[in-house]
Amino acid sequence: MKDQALRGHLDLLLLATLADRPRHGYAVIEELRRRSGDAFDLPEGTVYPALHRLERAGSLASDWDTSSGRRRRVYRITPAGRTALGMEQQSWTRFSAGISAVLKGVSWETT
Amino acid sequence: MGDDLIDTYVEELRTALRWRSDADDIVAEAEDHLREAAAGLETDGGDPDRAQAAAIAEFGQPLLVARAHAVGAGHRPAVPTSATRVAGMAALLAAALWVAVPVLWLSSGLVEESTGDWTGTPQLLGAIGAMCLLAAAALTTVTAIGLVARHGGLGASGIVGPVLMGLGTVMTFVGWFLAGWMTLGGIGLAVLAMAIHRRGLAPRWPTILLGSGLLIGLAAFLGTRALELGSPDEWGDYRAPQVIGLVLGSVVISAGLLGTGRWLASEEPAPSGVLATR
Repeated sequence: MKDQALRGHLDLLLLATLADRPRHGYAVIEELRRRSGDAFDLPEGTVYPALHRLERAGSLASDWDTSSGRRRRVYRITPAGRTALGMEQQSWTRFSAGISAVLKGVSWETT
Repeated sequence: MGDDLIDTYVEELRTALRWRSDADDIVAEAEDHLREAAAGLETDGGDPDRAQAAAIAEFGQPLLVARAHAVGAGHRPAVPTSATRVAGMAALLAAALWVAVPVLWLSSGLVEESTGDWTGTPQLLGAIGAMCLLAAAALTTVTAIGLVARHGGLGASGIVGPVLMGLGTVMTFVGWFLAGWMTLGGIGLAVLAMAIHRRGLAPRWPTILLGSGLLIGLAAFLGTRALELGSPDEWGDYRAPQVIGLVLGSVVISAGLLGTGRWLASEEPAPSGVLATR
């Protein structure tokens, strides 16, 4: 998927990936790739600034774990992040339904 | 154990991020990611080196990652751009002009001495030398701005340095106040060079030479003038201190500009997209 399309929705995708359980960065990206069927193609290193931004915004929190022998940052979604995710999901559902309706040539109300 | 590809990558990323207080955390996170990704690829039957290379390719170039972190944190990224490359070319041109100034002025003086007449060739050489000096000063200011941009800003030093340099250049344009300009420009470049040196990104010796060139020239002039070196001309001016200060200052600042200019001009601009598709 092209970067412009991804850029606008990366926060939503990251929050959704962390909604079920905490994950470290690599696991977040692997899960994102698995759920999307490898549709998202972006330099993995650029996902981390987005995770950090979400943490600064209060949507995520993180802890450092050293049990693997390396320093590893594990992210988890916060209550504020769940609220933001819910709102973003609603917004996306309406948006995607509208796009689908236009593409199918039918009115939004009939979809 | 010797350095592997991931060690090398991590060091490059650390260098690109060294101005950030959270660089260690970012680098630790990147290394954990790369080791895990490489281990996964190796388990799938890949050669260790190829697995590491593939993991690094998926992660993105260090400069791209550093830029993404800078944008995410609201900082200006400390990465090469087309503008910093242009500033590097300006520095190379300025280096040549700084050397041309004493050559032209000394030639002018020699011709005048041999003919006993200031008009004609000596006057023309002197005027071209003056234009070269003004152009060199302006291009050095452009270089200073480019160096600040290359470092993603340098705080107060990143503003004070180029402003003093620019102010001194304007003073020279308006009133030909060379001593004032050398003082202002010298202080400006010294402040800037100290800030650049602390970051450790630019080549060390060219930075030191750039920051000290004008002040060395000024000190050489004042020192030799105080010693009344040489003999005064009909207006009471000592030519030898002027020549020594000019030659020494020009050569030192030219060497500094050559080194920093080569560095700025040689760097490929970093990719502009934070989430650029490969």
